[in-house]
Amino acid sequence: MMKWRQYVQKGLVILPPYLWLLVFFLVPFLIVFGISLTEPKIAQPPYSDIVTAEDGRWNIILDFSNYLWLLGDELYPAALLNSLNIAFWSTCLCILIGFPMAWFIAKAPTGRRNLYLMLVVLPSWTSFLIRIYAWMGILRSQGPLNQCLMALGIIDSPLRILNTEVAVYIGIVYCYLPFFILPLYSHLIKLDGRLLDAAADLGAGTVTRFVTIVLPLAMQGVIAGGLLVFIPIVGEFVVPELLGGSNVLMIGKVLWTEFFANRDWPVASAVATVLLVMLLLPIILLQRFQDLKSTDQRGQ
Amino acid sequence: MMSEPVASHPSFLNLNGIVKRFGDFTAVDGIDLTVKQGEIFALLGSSGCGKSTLLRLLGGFDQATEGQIHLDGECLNGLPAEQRPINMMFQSYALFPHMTVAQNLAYGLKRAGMKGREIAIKVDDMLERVQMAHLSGRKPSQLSGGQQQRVALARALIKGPKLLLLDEPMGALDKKLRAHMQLEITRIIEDLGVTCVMVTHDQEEAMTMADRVAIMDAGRIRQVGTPQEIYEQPNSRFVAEFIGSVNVLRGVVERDRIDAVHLHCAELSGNIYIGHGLTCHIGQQLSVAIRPEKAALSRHRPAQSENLSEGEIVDIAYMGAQSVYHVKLSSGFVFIVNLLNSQRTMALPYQWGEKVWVYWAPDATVVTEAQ
Repeated sequence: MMKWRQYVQKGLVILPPYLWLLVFFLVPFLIVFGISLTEPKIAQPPYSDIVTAEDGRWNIILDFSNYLWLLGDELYPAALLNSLNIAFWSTCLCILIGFPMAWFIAKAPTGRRNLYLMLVVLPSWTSFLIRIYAWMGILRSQGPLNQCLMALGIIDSPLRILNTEVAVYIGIVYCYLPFFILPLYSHLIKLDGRLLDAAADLGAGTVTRFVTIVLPLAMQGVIAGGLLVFIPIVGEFVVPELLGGSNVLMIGKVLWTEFFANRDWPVASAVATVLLVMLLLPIILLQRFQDLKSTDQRGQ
Repeated sequence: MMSEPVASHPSFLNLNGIVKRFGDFTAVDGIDLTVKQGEIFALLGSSGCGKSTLLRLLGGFDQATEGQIHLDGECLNGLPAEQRPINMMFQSYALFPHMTVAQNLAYGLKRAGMKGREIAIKVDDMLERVQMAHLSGRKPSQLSGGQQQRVALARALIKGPKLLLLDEPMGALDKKLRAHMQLEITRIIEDLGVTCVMVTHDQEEAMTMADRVAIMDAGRIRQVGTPQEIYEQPNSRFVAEFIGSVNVLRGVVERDRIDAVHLHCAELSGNIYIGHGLTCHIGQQLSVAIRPEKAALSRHRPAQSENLSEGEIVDIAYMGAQSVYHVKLSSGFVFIVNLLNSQRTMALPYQWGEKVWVYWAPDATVVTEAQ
């Protein structure tokens, strides 16, 4: 039995994070959601009020037409699908490149691990924007990459990389790779080396050991790291804007255009709401799945 | 304790001049060893003596720098772990946490290319043998320490290895369970007749489970023998002191006869009489070991002129089944005597500060080494 004092103490401990989420997540989201149910207006702010007072009566007007509008115009579903597509394949690339790197770091001698981790994180100490600008320089037609390839005789004329999807992939994978490597590394470091010895002892070769022992035990780390990169990539705006030019349509760019170019706050809010719901659902499902799995592993 | 016919393969496992170096450090320094078929053989030593490295060399997790390993006539040099007909029960078991008990057992059989039905039969059979059939669907984290050990043993035995390796088999168990599992595991291994090499730092465990024991120190083997041989006839002061407790006295040879040797011992302020012949010469210094339980106490001077000394009891450790008496001799040497508490009484036969005689029979002394 817990005394009420303990309840209060417990409450005080969890109050700050809840307050934080309330003030900086739930309230802003409700405001955005509210705006998505209004009509655009040339005014300050540029949308109609939900609640109006007329003849001493309160009127509440909820306008769902913005959501219908999103469905009606194929631009929005196309942009959303393309974003999911790019995010999916970038995440796959992060896994392919990041897994060996995380494995290498986790297997390195203790003294050298911190150095390698430092090297992974170090680029993040420079401004994100500056690094993307640097990539613009590297990838342009007369940039060092093309000159290098031509000097080596691999290509005759410069490749057009900048302002294509390839450039977007390069930029995104480059920026998000550390966020995949770190959580995976923290899982791999916990992997008991004796399990691999045991697998070898029972007749498993290198590949079998990896597939039957390392991969299943690292799966949670892959999922955690994968989500950590997939979700922000879906809404990514800077990389496609700077490296993809007008050729790459992503939902983040559409959002930006609606807000700042068209000044259509209600539609932009609707886009943001749909995006959030679409990303939230799979995460919640995954969380439920993992909870079930871990209680299954622990519980009697 | 052996169950298999031994004579047909006098040396089933053969180690020849095994050396393992890690950089400048020599972990295993020239080991020759022979293990008979069906034998349980223990490598006993303190941590860092090279016993675990030797086990890893046998398992194929590391390769020896020098020397050969032969198992059943076949050279194992250069073969990786996955190709050796050897299985190991790992320290703290290394069960696959993401697999059930049955899946853990099936793992090795699958690697050997066995099919589902065959695997299921073998797994059920082995689980029955270690009395774990009712828990085949559990994950390792849902098992107790003793249950995990049974699964680990079953997993190491299911492929029918020619050689079973046990790495500190009881290390993760509490004392009570340990005594039970030592006998249980020995029974299972002997039932199957599998040859077994185990590594342990626990002498009780080695003596309970093994047919023969090798005492290791600094990468070398100091003595190989049955538990009785190691305990009663240690070949060096190191072995004598490593196994059990012992009183080590030094003496100078005074009289050397065919069937007996007399030593003068300063620590006793008297003489030591050894009831068998020795190759030694007058004036030579010898080291003599007497086990505490082989000596006795008396309030009155015993009727013998040698192998005795008077002293004062300075410490008594009551341990239930026996008591350990520390007797300070007039030379200052503290002699340890164990007495069995065979009478059910609250009073100890001797008290603190009491003057007593320590004495022992002529055949209780072991000459460990000349000095």
